[in-house]
Amino acid sequence: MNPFQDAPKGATPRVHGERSETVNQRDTPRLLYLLTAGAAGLWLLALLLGR
Amino acid sequence: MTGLISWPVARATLRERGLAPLTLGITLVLVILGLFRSTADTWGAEAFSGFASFWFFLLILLLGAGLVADEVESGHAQLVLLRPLTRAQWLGGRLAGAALVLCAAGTLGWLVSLVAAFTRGAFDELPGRLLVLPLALLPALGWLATLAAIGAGARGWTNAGILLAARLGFGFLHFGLPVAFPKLGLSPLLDSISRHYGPQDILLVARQFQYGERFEPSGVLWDLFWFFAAWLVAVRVFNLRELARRRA
Amino acid sequence: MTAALQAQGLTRRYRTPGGGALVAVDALSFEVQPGEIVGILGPNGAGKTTALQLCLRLLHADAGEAKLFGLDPEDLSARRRVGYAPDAALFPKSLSGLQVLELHAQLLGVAREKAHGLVEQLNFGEPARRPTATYSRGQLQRLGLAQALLGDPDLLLLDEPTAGLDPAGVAQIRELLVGLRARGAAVLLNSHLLSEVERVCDRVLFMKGGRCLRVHDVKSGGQRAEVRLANGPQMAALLREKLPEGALDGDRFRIPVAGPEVVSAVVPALVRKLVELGAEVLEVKLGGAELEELYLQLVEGRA
Repeated sequence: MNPFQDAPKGATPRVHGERSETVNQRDTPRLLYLLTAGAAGLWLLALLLGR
Repeated sequence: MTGLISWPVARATLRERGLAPLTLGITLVLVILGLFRSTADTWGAEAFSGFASFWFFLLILLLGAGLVADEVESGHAQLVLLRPLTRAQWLGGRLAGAALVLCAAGTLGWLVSLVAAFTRGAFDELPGRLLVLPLALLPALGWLATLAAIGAGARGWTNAGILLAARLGFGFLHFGLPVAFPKLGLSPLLDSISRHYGPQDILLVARQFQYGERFEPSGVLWDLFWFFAAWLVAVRVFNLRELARRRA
Repeated sequence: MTAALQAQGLTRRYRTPGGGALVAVDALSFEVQPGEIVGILGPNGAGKTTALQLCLRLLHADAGEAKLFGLDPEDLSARRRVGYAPDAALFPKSLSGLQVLELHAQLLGVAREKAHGLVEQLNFGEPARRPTATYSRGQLQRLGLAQALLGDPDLLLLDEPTAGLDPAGVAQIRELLVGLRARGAAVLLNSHLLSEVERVCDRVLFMKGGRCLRVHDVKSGGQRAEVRLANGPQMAALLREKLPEGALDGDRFRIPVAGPEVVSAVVPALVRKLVELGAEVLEVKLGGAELEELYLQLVEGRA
């Protein structure tokens, strides 16, 4: 059995029928930005409320 | 969280760092200190403060030293990064593995000190004593993430040397400059820098809580922010370093 | 059919300390199809290792690109199907070989038992339980190979897989590669062991100075027979006259024979003819040193 399938024109090729999840290795997860920004926001809020 | 942390990498790091003889040795020291420093007038922080804080910081340095570089320089990181995981997940896994060892060692020292306190009937201190553990671990994790951030760009174990030099250097300036140049009035400036120079010691919050004093959460939140920010910087720097290495 | 690996004009320069640039790989194009074993042959510094690393994007190419199964090499679904065993891999010193394999098994999402089974299959059971700090070069090589094979890859890239292995290990790897080919996997391997490459590879790329000098089809390139004669020197003139396509070298007479399918008919006929001419045949070998001759001709520039 051939595990490789030709992709139809214009479609992303697939391996073993899997969805191609091209993850750009340069990406930094958005969750990490959210957590950092969230913590920074809470800290600033605490500073403001503490005054 | 799987987008941030590769748990298989974390488990392997836990094995690798957690079973190192030096890690086990320092954990033993923390346990002994927790056992014997618990006196009648303490409130739970003795497992992490004073002399114990030196050992705890040493453990952080040891766990974070070469956390990234060891794997990159041996070439094993290249093999692992060929697997279906991102660089961010790999770095998150390394950090999480070392963090788990740190939390386990800290918890063990704290638990022994808690039991020692109970044996002399200090049950009324319980809320403060319970709070001490997360308050000690949070800045420790912040330092560990800082080591990962420095280590994402530094060679070998130099990340630990750089962090130690930065802390000692600033400490020297903080206390030395006002003494050397008293007329310049540098103390307030240096104090305010010091409050944002790395994670802060927040054990005092447990004491405030214990004795019903006014509760000040900004230090805790600063440490939380520092932890995530250092982690974020570590991921970004590691990405840049890897791309630069591939292009060099 | 999509190629398992397709390299198109891969070029890579290294900056040298003096400020110059060294071209490690120069406009390299080739492909590896499913069910095919392709070897890269070349002297030290020919750019073989760099070529493999460019294919996997462990290094960025200055020009050209590589595709794995038609996908970007950093695509995670492509990576799930690729195995890579580098030359002289190193592993975390305090972990045992088995723990390293378990890590890779988890990352690939295959059962841990697979790692245990592979270790036994590679006769690596005892060392696998020791920390990798205690490993010899050959044992590190085996561990590197085991981690590459772990996910039943559809594309396997091997950098000098037999270096540091004992003869039994070399034979075992040969068997493994043939088995992989049989189930439709593609293999690209770097080696300087000509005999090994000739035995397992379907095609061979000759590389020198970062360039591909020639792609040689091992199977369809015809074979040659090497006949050892007891009276070679006395036969020289006669052989030159009657069998001019052959060449006598000492007591060895080498002559091209047709493709493998007709060898069974050609070889007895050749022997009969030689005997009729008065030759005393001691030994007949097929395959001969064709790749070695090509290598010397192409890479070393010898006629």
